[in-house]
Amino acid sequence: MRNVLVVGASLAGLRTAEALRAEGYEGRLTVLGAEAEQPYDRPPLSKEFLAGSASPESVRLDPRPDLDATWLLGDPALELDLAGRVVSTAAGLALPFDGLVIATGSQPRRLGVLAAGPEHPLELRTLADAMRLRAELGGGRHLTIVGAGFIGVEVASTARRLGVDVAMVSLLPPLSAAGPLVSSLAAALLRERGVRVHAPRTIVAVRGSRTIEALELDDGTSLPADVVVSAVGVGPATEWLRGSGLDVTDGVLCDSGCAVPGAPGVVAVGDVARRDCPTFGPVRIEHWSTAIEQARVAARTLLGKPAPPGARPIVPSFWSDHFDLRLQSLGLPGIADEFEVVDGAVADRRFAAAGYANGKLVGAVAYGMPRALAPFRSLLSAEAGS
Amino acid sequence: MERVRVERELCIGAGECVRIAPATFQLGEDDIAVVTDAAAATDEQLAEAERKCPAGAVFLDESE
Repeated sequence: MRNVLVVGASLAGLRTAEALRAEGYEGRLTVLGAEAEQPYDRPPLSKEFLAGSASPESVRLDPRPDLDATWLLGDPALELDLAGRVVSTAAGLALPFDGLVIATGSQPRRLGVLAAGPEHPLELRTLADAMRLRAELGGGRHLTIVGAGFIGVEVASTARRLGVDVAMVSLLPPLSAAGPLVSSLAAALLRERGVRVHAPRTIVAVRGSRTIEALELDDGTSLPADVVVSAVGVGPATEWLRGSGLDVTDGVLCDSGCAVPGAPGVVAVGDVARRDCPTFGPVRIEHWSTAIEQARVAARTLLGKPAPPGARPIVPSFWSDHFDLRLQSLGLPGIADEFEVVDGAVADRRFAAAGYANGKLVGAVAYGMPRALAPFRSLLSAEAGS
Repeated sequence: MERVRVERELCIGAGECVRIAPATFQLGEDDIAVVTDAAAATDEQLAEAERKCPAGAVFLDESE
């Protein structure tokens, strides 16, 4: 392998590029990124950065000094020609490769009813998005958040701290992906901190001629708003792969080593990868920690090396900071049909709970107990391996 | 008690701890992280290493 092209210059792409060098790759390395910025860390965008306590410099991900890569930033990939082994870009470049890392991540989903409005609401995916939103959040402003997932709840928390009046509209209850136990506590926290949650509700119309003035809900409520943020989840950024022949049903299908079947010398990592997992089958996991974990696996696969010595079935994990609490999640608590509180108490806003599906441990969650989940790592890892 | 330790069984060798506090963590020959000098990192660096370890393998002394 002499010429590796990494498409995607965020966490997964950067860490894979670094892992290639760490594994001894000495050939050409090119990183193509759609955004103009150097790689940066996304988790702070809805937290410290939005609150104004972190600068753009402090969220930057500095590549290892010996990376020796060519950076092509601000130029999105347009098309992959697998047979010709070349990626073409929006700026008209044709980039040949013998090894390809697909790391284009994810992009915000958009609701049709909002797209039909006078302007699209703000979103929160990129550093540029976060800077726009930050400039809009001041005391006395009225913010409406569409969606009650992790980004929505974190934005609500930060905005309330900044003295912004916040309403939330969602089809699903808050943080439903983490299971009912977390969801009901999150709903209580939002209420207590003065966020008006409208759920389960849908938006039926957007009012306003040049800017959004109000959102009309299906129960007849009209929500006036100065600022509207849409945070209804993300989907894999695979548009550029549509004509490539690859399976891009909900992300780029790849095996447990991140290799893309039928495409020798091609791996997929991060949010865009739908990687085969022993417990759950192919699954796309949009977590920070998963991108890190996959980077090394993918780099070794690309270089024809066996899985790393420490490699084991992944235990997906993530954290979310909101309303002065840290929520941590392991495994897939969203598919659990039963929870057992194993430490603390839900009423105290400090608890850890194990989630079971059909009697089998599938995940664990903790609110305000940062270290309570540690024992579940090994248990979930063992479950995944069995 | 140690200020910080790495659980060998959980470590996947991602090296995030080494990026955050290179004077405290190193990857050993088997690519498993080891604590070389627990005193060389600030409390903030250790807390960040604990939080950012993708495998949850970094443990801080809870008695602090």
